[in-house]
Amino acid sequence: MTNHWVDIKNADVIMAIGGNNAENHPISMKWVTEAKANGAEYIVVDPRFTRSAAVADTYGPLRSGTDIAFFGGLFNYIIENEKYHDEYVKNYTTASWLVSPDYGFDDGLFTGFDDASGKYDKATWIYQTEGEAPWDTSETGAFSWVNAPNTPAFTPPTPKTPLKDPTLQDPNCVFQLMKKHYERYTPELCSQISGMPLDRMMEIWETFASTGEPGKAGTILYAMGMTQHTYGSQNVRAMAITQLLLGNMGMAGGGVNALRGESNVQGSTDMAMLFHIIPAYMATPVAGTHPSLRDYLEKETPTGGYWTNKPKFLISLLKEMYGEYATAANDYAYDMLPKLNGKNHSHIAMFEAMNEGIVKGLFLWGQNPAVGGPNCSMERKAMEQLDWMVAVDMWETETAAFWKAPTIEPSEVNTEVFLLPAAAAYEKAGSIANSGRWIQWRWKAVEPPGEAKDDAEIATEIALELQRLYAEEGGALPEQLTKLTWDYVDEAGKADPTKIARAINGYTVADNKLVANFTKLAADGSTACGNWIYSGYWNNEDSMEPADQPTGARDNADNAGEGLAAPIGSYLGWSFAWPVNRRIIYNRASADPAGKPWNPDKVVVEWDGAKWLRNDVPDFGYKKDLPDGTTLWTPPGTTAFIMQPEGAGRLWAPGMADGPFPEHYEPYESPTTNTMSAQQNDPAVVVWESASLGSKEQFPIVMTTYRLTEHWQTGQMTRNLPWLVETMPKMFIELSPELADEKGLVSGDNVIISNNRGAIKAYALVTSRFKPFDINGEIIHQIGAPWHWGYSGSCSIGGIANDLTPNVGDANTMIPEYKAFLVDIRKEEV
Amino acid sequence: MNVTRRGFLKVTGAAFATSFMYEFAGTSTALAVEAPEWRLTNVTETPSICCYCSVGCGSINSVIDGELVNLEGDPDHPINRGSLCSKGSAQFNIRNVYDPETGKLELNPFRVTTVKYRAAGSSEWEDKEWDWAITEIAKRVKKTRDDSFETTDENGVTVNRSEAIGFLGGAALDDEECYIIQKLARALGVTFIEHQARI
Amino acid sequence: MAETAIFYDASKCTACKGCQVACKQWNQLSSPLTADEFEFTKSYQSPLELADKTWIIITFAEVDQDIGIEWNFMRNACFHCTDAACEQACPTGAISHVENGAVVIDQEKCIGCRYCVNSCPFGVPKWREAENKTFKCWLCQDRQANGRSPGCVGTCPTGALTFGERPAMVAAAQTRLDEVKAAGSDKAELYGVDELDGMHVIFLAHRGLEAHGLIRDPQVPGSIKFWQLMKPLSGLAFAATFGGLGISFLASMGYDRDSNNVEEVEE
Repeated sequence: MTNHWVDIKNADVIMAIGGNNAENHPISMKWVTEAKANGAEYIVVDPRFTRSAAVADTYGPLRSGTDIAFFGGLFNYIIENEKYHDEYVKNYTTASWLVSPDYGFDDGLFTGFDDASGKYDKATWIYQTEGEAPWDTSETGAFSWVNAPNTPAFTPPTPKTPLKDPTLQDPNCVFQLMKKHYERYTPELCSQISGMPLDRMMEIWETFASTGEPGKAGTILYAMGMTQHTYGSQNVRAMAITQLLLGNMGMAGGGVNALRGESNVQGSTDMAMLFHIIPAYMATPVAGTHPSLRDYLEKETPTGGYWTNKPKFLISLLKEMYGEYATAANDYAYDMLPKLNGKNHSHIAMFEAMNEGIVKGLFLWGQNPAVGGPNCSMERKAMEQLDWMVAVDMWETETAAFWKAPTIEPSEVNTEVFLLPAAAAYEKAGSIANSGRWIQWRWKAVEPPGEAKDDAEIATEIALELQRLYAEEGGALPEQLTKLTWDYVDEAGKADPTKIARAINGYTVADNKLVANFTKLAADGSTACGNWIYSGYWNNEDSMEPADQPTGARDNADNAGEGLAAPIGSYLGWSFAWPVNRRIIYNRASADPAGKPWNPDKVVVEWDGAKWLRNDVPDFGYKKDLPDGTTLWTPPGTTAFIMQPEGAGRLWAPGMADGPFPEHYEPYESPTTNTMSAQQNDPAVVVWESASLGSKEQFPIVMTTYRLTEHWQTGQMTRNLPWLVETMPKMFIELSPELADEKGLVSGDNVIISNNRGAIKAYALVTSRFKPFDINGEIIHQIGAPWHWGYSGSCSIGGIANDLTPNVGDANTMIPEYKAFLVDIRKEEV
Repeated sequence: MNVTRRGFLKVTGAAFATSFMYEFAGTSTALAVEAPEWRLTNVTETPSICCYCSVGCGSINSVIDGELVNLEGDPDHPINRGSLCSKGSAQFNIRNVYDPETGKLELNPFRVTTVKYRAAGSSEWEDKEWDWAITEIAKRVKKTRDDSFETTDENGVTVNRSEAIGFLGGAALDDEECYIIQKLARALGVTFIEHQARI
Repeated sequence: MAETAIFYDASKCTACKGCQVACKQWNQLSSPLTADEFEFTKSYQSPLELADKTWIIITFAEVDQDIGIEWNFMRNACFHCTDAACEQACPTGAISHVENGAVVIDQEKCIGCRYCVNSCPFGVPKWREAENKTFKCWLCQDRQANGRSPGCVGTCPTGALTFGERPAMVAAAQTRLDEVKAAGSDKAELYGVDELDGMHVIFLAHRGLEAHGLIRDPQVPGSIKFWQLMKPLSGLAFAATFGGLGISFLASMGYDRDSNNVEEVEE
């Protein structure tokens, strides 16, 4: 979330699209309800009528996978009717930036597509520039640190001065390109593609576009309904563009708000439990691109924006990882980081590699891909290729027990499996980051039961044993392990989360004192920091009690900032939000170029002529504390988006794999032909053969998957809890009365749902919450099922919805297309 | 003790709540008949954050004699203000259930509480000791890593990686755990590091 | 001593079932531990009925519309009626009003006769065979006595459930009724303000009583009223058939009758 949960109350319009916040984030409704009490409109757009829709002011049904048609039409509506926030768009976005005249788009393809590789050559996706403005690395310059002793040598990037047309009239400016791109998205066409009735679509567009009025704020709440598509990243881009056009980014009650699905999936992402990043969103080194530290720093350090400090963050991370071993002489142990071979190593690829016998050993830390993975019967099959598996969990998951799967003969599976009993959340201490980036401490209430241990302890025991083994026996590059710092144990030899917290926050190497925050980090090896964006969450040197640290702070007063009339629900004294306790990201954009808030009643930051008044931590360099103890306030500038090299919000994103503008394509399994262009699917998507894609002739029904309030993820954390099983006991699929009639089904029937990837059994739940769609003049049925069930779990077992989902992923992230695929259904013959 | 429970929690993050009362705005009423037994006497209360979705609701765990006896929303928490949804309330069940026959509090019978090992080709789990498991796991990790390790690639670039080990998971763990687990993975040269955020 | 009440505002309810689980959590009520004890309910509503160990459920009713549906939720738990059929039917005085207006069952006195089960117009009290006792919501008297709202109310995310002194709850309900009507819910109605001489749960049914599954103008069955008149005598006779209960039971029953229900007997 760019904003946070409480901030929803500040919105004038709330749109839940690709998410079902009432069911999957029930407490969000506390704040939606409060916003509604203050007059806000709550819009829900979803393929089915959900418990969110039940309390919405307006509900719009939309065929799964057609969000870009909805948003493209919205852009067209906003631009044509001049509903955009003109001053905001001109000052804070890239609308005025000129793009190379060689860039273009024709019938579904952007310039530069190479059929053979299935990839875009992005050479034409560039801005027009003139002249150069090199970094000032002189002794008094902003970038003097580049030349500090022990800083790794690299040639700083050279920023170029962009050409702009502030009048937005140049045909090559982003605004005009955008206007041209989305003129094609007529209301009629968008309605035919999405199946949303035209009047309802226009009503929703009008309501949400009303937040383009200066001072109004609209928020978008989304979840996996947006991301689990082959163009999921472009769906997210579409929401960002909407919010930039309407001036909603940075506002109290605005933002693009991902409602993340697990209690600490924000934190685990921040910590880079992903192949492509190392902690705090730095790229994993790739052999071909970053053979040396110098290459890494030159390729990865951007020309402008706060990421110009990346060398400081990387060297501090390496110093945390390898301690004394990391020196300027050995490039701070850069070579100890494994380098990728340039191929995708994401979830889908991992199971392909497992199937091929490349991956031979697998650790699972509370993940259950035998139920949660796409096309997961294929994933279970791949597990048979493993020599060993270590599953750390509280339950006997379907994955740990994959050899017990109904279709697998145990005697033929030679995988050794270790199931290690883990501790529950309140059986250990540590912090987690919620969707609003609040890093909150959890205190330990009870000891884990039986022989269970927390994951930190288990990881530590394995790490220390491996260090011992390599120290004693040698082996492949022992130093990679033996030189690794692991000073996270207490006097009793147990893993101590507070010691890990120190390492994550960062400290100065010479005196081992915690740094206040990431502005104190350096690229010369004098600081160590495991995760720069967390820096400041554990910075009190005087006490190692969590309650004395920012992450453990429990002051729940909602105070107005000094000089301001009213608070906005920032709760700056409660826990710590990354970065630097900022609650609303890009909050500079909440005020006009002169620093006057667009909404004087909900001030985030305000320039009073002499200083900044603040209800939040400003997201820009707003002051300098001088050595003499005085403060030098920085007058308003217009760089509202400090993490972008442009300093402005991107309406046009040349970094995307599949095009600078979101373009509507059909899901890889679609019931219809793309009527927006000749390009049926997102062309930059990689498809493995194992996806076994089917056609609409074989499988005419669209299916989608989702979660229920009463269950969670693969169900292990809920199907083993009797109170929850009782509130939603069985696996089912939902279908419309119209389809039920066609298939001769009634509620309670056992049905078989099938496609090329598998067949599952479930109870039929016939409900008018599902309705057929009129798509391009044809009646299309959509059904849906929760994906919480599997064969393991003692209170409730049932069909695995993901046996049907395709292992085909988003062009940018490889997130699988769980949300739109094709099936057929029939009554089970008994 | 002359400090309120909530004030105490603010300071220390834990409170022994023998004599503390919630400071709810709701009406306090006495009963005509004898007041029912209050089951939260002599409890230790600690704040926690819900383990399900990402709203980050606070809960208060009440413990008597080392055992969890109650779990409800933290009334001080600025996001949930004491409320919890069905899953949030059911967190209690992750550890304890009430036996349908006896009504007594007992450990959730489905929790795995011992180290379990499944040998190649076997159709059963065996209970094992921790020390054995850690030793055996480390041996296998080392063998797989050593057998597959690449120091340089075909272009002579130092890569120091093993493609033969995968790490999956983390979204259910604490930040500190995630940090050290990915650190261990990278120190093994592992490139297949993924978790729930991808799917 | 003030009467207290819950106000349930259906227009704010998202049917998250937090109340269902929080009730079980606080009141230490078990659910089955084996899969075969659960049935598919053909609905998001589960369980379909109240039970001896399920004292509150959220009900789900669908009304089809051109686009989407109206999904009407309702809180189903003891209504804590002033004119309470269960209390009047109870031959042993196990069911009584406490001073805050709640209707509670004294398990020490319950003999498992199930007269209350059969008399309640809403089907609230449920009999547990194993103990031969009847159970239902008691508005968390222990929480009330310790300054906390009932478990279901405390856990409600949206403020669909609030709790306080009854007049304040009635006033809040009236205010909210005016709001939702002004906002276009012209079928909205209150429930429990006057029904059965006033309940201790007040409802806002924003799509009308029937749409939410509420019984319009509920009545204590006539036979119960008759039974109530006869009770001092028949209660003794009834109790006498349960030989094991002994003289102290009869004495305590008589005591409760006299102190709590004289006026009703003489209506």
